[in-house]
Amino acid sequence: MTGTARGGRPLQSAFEQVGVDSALVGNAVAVLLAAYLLTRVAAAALTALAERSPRYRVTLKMFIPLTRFLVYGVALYVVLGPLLQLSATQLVAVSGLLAAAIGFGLRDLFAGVVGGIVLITEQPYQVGDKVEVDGDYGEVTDIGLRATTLTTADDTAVRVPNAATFTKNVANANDGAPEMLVVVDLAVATDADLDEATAVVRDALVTSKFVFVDDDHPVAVLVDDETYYWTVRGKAYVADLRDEFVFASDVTERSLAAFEERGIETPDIPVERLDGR
Amino acid sequence: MTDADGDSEPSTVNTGLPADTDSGTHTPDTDALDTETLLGDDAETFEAVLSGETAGPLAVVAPPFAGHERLLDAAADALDAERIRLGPRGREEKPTPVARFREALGDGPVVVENCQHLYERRVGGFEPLESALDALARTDSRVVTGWNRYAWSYLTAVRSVEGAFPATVETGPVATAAMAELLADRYGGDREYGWAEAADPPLVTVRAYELGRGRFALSVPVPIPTRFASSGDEERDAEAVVFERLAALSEGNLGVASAIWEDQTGDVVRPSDIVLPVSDVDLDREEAFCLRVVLAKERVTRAELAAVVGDAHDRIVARLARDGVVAREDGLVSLERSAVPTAAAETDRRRVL
Repeated sequence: MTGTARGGRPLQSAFEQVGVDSALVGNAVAVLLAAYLLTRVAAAALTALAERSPRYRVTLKMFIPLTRFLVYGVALYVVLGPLLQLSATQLVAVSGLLAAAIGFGLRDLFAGVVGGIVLITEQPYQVGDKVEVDGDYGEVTDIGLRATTLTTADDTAVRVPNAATFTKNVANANDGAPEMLVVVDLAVATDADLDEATAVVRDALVTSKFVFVDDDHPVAVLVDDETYYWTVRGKAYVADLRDEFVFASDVTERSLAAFEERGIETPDIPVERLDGR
Repeated sequence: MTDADGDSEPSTVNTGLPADTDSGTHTPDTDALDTETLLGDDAETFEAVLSGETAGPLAVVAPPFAGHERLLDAAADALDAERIRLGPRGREEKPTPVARFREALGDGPVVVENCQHLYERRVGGFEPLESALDALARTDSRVVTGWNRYAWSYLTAVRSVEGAFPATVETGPVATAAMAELLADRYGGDREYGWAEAADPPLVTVRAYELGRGRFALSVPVPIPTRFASSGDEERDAEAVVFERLAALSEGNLGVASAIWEDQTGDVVRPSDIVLPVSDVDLDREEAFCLRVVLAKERVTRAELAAVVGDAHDRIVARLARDGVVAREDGLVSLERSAVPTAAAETDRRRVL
């Protein structure tokens, strides 16, 4: 007799003692494994398809968590359907265990799963969106059963529990659209030619290789009067939200070069000497 | 305009391009190419502006090589106007395009071609355009202007240029029958048409069925016994299928269709011979941006590309030239006619404005 057979018999008898067919458990494991593989394949296929088109990337990635929840939901139904044909005694025992588990150890996990379901139904954000949750800002790269993964600008993966959507403010920069508004601030001296400075910033915005402009996505240049300088604030949309930072850098770099070329002064910050010298 | 010899031919002012290419004329030169063929429903607006029923200035918008120069020829004839052709120029060259434009506006009717050269996509690059639009607003002369479609769509988005033009017409795709007639007029209608012959037809033919649309189209190969695999095309006239395919691939653009047609050097033209020489390019953002600039200008100086694209422009232009999308000559980079559909599709996919 092999070790496996020797180990299998006590396990089988243990299942028989609680009234569960070992074949049923085997089927359940197979179904969950199949569900896991299916979600991985579906997520990989949807990601590959989404990355082919910047325009539809966010829309397509929205289906990844949806598929995951759907597949796991069906798998759980298939697994628990036969298992939950319980006697009254078994039902009481399972209910008690479940209540205790959720109440003590699994409360956060359960809240995360419920939060995930809320994310799927209400969609405060989707995979591909740029969001800020509880001070962390980045692109949503995954919505899991328990937590959402944000990838920040410095390529750090931040795991935010799905339950945070119940208690924290969620700021979504693009709300499912592939384009997003980017704000670029440039400071000029108070004696600078403000008309020319705003014209430069406007040109830098609309000539950028990353910009997206139409009637619904206009360009705006505003001026703020600060204490020692003026801020020229340019607002424009990027065609692909992943270009947010490189767009801001491109506009800033070309605006500053044009300021220098045209003699538009940038402010000297007044230094207050506190030591009396 | 009547010149010194008393001829009533419209005068032409060349602004910097070689005489044989400055107009961008690559479309069939035939009387069959009339305004209705090119403009469709917009022909009425075009005629109304020329006859004075509708106030101008008029903007004629067309994709590269689509034949809009024929419309501008017709406008110059009808208005007896001075003809100005703008082109890519060195920044220091005099007179500047806008100076020529403004000067001509004072002399009476004027037709200006290639107005996409009035701007450069850089900080300060819109000043000539703004100056020209200001001059346009002050003149009482009748003015017809020609614009590249991609430059026009960019300028309407970022500069609201359409507000300066009470009337705008845009060329549409030329119908298959008209395209066949025009190409036969230009290249001769004595070609033979046929189908590709399979010496020994296989038992099974694999036919691809398209699922989905656009970028998400999925081609599913399905093996079918050859005897049941007839598409119906084989029973059709090969000539009709050739021109349908030509019209579809060129998107009704006569210049593109001419380029594909000129590649047909065999005795017999088969539908399977009608292909775009450049059908698939995979560009990054920098390359797509550079290509979009060339697509919107049709011809652009290297100096302008360097100012707009940056230090990488040489490398990018070399790559685009290798792919057959652009051609390089004497400090100029020009768009290849047959690459227009591919360049437009790829830059649209990358969402480059």
